[in-house]
Amino acid sequence: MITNNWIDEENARATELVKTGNTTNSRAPLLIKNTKQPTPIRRIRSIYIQESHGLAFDKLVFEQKITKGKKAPELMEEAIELLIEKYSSKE
Amino acid sequence: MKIIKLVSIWNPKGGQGKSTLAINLAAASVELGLKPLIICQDPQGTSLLYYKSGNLPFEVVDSVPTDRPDADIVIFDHQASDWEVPKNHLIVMPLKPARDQYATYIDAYRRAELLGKKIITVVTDGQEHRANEKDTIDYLKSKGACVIPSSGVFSRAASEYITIFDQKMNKAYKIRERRMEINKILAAILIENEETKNDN
Repeated sequence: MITNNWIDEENARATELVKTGNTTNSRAPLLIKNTKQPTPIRRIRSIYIQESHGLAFDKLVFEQKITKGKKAPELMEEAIELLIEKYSSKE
Repeated sequence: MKIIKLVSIWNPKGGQGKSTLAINLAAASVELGLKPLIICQDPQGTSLLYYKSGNLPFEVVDSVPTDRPDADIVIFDHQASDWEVPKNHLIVMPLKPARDQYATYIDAYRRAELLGKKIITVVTDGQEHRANEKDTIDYLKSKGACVIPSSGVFSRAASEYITIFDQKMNKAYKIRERRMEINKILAAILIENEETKNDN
């Protein structure tokens, strides 16, 4: 036998509350989610590459922008970072 | 393309066992031969702390991956105070069987129910020798809730940042029962064959 009378009270309260769309304390600050991805830190560095490689990079960026929008050259950036890490001297 | 099962562990009330449930469900799915991924959505980073300890046989990431993950089941470990109903269909809501805990749970439950979510309720840390808690547990059971009683195995596992499925826990008191309870929740998740799309 259920002896918790409060369950019915809480259920009824919650049922009424959900109709208002509020929380029990609707004046309390609510959590706001920050879903923005952090902007990568960009630096300018000069490296020498072959023209064919430059064209391949351009093509890669172009294709990526077509599929993911103009602000999405992450793959290119990742590739350049890897190349710089592998071949360039430390700053 | 492989179907990924998406499940959110959600309850705006803190301390109900969201992260504990997340890591143990993931460990249970490894036992089944599945590849789980936990996405920690909690600034406290509890599930991440477990992962960083190096004892987990699965991955925990700190944010939603930009690319489709190579996983069979993705578990979102939500933070306390998050009143936004998760966007994926299947939600697991842990709660402790006390009135003040239940009050927050049922408020959140009603919100999710209104959006047509599939909700699996899990009563955690219940002590059935206390009449009041037993009544609440019985009531929630009658509504289809799963139950994980209060047990030392969880605090013992937590002390080493391991799951209760870790081999070190094999000889712990009533470990078999606790593992079976987690497996039962996982089974309830896996048989739920609704949409797997997620907008999180």
